[in-house]
Amino acid sequence: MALSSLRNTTLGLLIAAALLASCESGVDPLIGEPRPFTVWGLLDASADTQRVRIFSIEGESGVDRPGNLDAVVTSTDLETGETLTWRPYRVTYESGVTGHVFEAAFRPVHERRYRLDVTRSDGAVSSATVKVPPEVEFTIERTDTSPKVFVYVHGEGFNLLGVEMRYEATNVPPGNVWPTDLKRHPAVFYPVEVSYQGTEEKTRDGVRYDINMVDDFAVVEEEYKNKCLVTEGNPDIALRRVEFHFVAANEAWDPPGGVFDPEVLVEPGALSNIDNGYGFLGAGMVVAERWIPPKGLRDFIGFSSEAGCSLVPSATNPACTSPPIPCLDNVTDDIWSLYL
Amino acid sequence: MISRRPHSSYFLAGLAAVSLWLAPTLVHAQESAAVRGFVTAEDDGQPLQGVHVILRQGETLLGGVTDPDGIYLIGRVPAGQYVLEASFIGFETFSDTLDLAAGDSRHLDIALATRQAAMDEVVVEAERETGAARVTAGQQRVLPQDIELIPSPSVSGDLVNYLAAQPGVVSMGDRGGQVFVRGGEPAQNLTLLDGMYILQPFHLLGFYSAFPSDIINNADIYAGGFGAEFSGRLSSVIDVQTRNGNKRRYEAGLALTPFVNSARLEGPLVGPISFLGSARISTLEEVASLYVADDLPYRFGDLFGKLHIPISRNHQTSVSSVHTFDRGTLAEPTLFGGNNEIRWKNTALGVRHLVLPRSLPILGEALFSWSRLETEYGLREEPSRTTDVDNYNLEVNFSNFGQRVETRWGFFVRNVELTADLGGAYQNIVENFVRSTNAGGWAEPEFDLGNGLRVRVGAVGQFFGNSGFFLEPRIRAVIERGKHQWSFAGGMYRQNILGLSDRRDASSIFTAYAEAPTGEIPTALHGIAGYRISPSASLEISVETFYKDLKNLFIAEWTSFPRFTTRLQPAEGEVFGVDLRMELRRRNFYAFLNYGYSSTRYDAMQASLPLWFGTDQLSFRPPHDRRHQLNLILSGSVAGFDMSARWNIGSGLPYTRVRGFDGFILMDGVVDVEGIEGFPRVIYDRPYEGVLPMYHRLDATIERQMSLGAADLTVQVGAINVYNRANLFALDIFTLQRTDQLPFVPTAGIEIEF
Repeated sequence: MALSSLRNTTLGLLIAAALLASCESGVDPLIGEPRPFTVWGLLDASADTQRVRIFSIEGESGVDRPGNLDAVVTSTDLETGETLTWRPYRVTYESGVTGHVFEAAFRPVHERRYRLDVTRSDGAVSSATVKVPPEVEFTIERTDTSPKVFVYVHGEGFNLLGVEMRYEATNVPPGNVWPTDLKRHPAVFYPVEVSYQGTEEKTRDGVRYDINMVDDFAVVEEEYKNKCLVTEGNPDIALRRVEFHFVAANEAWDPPGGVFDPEVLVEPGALSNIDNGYGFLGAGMVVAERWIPPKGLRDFIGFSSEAGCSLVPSATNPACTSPPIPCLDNVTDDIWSLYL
Repeated sequence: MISRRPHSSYFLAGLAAVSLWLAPTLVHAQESAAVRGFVTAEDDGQPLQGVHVILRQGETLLGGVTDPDGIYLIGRVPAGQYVLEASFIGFETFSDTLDLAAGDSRHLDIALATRQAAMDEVVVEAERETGAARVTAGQQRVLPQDIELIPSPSVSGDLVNYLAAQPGVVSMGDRGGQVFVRGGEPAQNLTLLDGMYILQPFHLLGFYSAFPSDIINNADIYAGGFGAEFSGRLSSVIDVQTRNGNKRRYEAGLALTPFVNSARLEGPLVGPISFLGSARISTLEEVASLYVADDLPYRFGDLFGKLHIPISRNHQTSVSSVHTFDRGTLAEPTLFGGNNEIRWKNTALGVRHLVLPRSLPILGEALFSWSRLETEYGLREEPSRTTDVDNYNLEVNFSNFGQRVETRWGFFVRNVELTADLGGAYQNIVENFVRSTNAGGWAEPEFDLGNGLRVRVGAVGQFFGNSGFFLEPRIRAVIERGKHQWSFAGGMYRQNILGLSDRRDASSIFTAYAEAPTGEIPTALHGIAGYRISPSASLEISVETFYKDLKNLFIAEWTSFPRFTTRLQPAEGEVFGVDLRMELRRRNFYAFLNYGYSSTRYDAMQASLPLWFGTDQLSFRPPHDRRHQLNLILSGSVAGFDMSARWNIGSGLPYTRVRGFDGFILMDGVVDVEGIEGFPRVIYDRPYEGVLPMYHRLDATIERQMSLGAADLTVQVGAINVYNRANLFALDIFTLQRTDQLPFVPTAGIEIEF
């Protein structure tokens, strides 16, 4: 009885199993995205050439988009009806990734509305409509003897974004810390940006930013230390130029909570004004003023006014000894191309 | 910060409570007698569990059954002459006459002689004490012979195969080393081996764990509703007690299979001291990979040793130690994953001392253990993420034995040290060291209220690090009426050490550990109700419903960046379900059919949800929410061959579907869109709204045991995934790469024991 029971049950089990073996086991997690494009860029009322970066939305991961992009980009001045077709070109980054950029030679007019259309050959369109904010007026109060700078921005109807002081600084390591086959000892140009976003004080007709370049120097020095560009015994950082800049952006260019948190904004649609697509097209005016503090002020702030300061490897910080500058992953100058 | 004064007050209050607790016991001890001792098998000195030890005086019967250590203790015995009987199926009944005076405290060790003619009966009866359908409010006792019924690619069994065959237990398949019990996550399981905390006990290949059946004495599985003796975990308890080495003679075993080779040695050392040692090492890379088409990049092994030291008639000490290691790559290298090899090691040492005081009807247990889990992910020379967990555990437990009430209580101090280097993956913290102390006490009297009703009411009072003092009530009730049994259990549970995994990707089993934020300790409320019926001596059917309410959970937050994250978001959860079990045991035929329905839902509360999804809370099925699961196990003996088969089918697990991929540029001001390469981004659908294909698999083995004089030889052949089902193991939602579980794999093994 037990034997026949076991046999029958086993037989039944095997038949059921054989039937189930043919069940569907495939899975396609890619359900598709009807929106054709992701668009990133801004219409800059202070520039004569406008650029946007376009990603086609693909079924494979990564940002590389080799080959031509099936897209035509046009912009239309909604007040005059004038339409421009943007010129496509490809950019190859150091990693080998190909990106698609479109540009058009025109200067957007303040307080006008523009529509940008990105059209695929099958007719699918991603588009954005933006209004260029009013012209911004600003004044900078500074002297050749004080590290304090006051920036006044007048007017309303725009958001101030990317408010930063940019310190274009340089460090020239001595010859003995470079590889011996390096023919020329380059200066390492490593600009540091110190954010003043959100530090504004209200004034009667706008806002004011109080900048203290002595405080900023501490940030710059810390950044240089992190990159092993200054070490013990060699604190010198040579300042070439400073720049105060910001974007007077249209009111739609306003992140949730007023903070540009990439962990929040990375979610598709989190800050997007693209119809039938993703990304963001801003409009505004990039405002920048550059100047060179005089030698005495540079010294007072903490920078070195000497060009040729040296980099001595640290005896106590192994990260700064071998190789002498191991952390230059985001220095724009390709120092390794200096090898012959 | 807790001030010193309250600590002192609590300590004094605790001492006072203990004094009050003990006072009646001391008074009764003066007025009545007590009998206690250890019951062992005469032939190998192993403690016998479940032996009925009774004192008979006319119509009066007093007594109970021995615990896993073979201990019996009959307290509050009125003075008089009694006949003590110890009986166990398969053994000769022991009988002795005792004259007990008031205040007597008699210690009597009993060694039962085997009744040779009844060996088969022993097996049958011993199994009936446990059994796959013999579940009482979430609690189940497992013996090695239960484990041996489940087919496995090794000749001897492993506890993980038994666990995976239970309803309500979800594994990610045949690899991964992750076990989810009734909706709970792996880090919410308390896994103990002789009292040692083992955080990652399951090997990479899902057929193996740190618990081979040939070292196990018994394992108590609590799928929920566990009593006050256990605390510090939210979900379940797997409490494994190993057996002692043979006290009379040396024994050895050697097993060779294409998956794992193992060796075991045990025997007497000096006097009554015995040892047990076991070692296993995987052979997948060398042997199984020769004939399996898939890559099997797994290396694992475990080493266990135990000394059992009877110090005197009243004192016993055991020292156990275990070391396990795992190394392997669960899924194909991916564009963003790089080298995704994971490695972990468990090392643990535990000392357990048992004492039966001469003057009190109390069983005392002192336990100290240390364990360490070291985990690495990435390149062996330069891992991208590492985490170490050190557990120090000191506890003292007591059992007071009375006629109608048995009280168990104790104290504990646990210290956990967490060290992590996560490369900024955990809340952007690169390096992290946390020391967390948890101390408290517990008490749980069990009342025999007559008419088959037993009620256990208890509580745990404990401090968690800097979060303060918490009280966790527990209750368990069982009503037995003839062939029917009803059982209920419930309680409140807290866990201050979090296990953080990025569960978006099943192959990403790297777990980082962290202390719960102050005042936000994860909390669970359990409720279980069960019914069991034994219509005949060979058939047992049980049904059990369960519910868990989970608060203050922390789960990985959503992000569209294709990378590992253990950045946390708060969440709440709810689990409910029903388990059905039917077990049939005949002399040469065994069948176990079970079905489990389970629903697990989390409510995520990430701050960005209103922006992303337009809601404050997002309800979703976490990726271990297997709704339906069915297991059928058949085993039988025909013409001297033992056959065993297991068929398992489970509904598909939830996952997040992908709509497409693009690039992300942070437009935070003056952005040069030409100069920035952009970050890869995944455009997800709503979280976990997709369902993976169902999972099913048939494993089968046939084995034959032969006697070669002084040695016993066992030969086994079998197959995993008999009908070659392409079961999905992992789907990398960043790259859409699929990794399958093992295909059809024939196995063979040989074991020799002498």
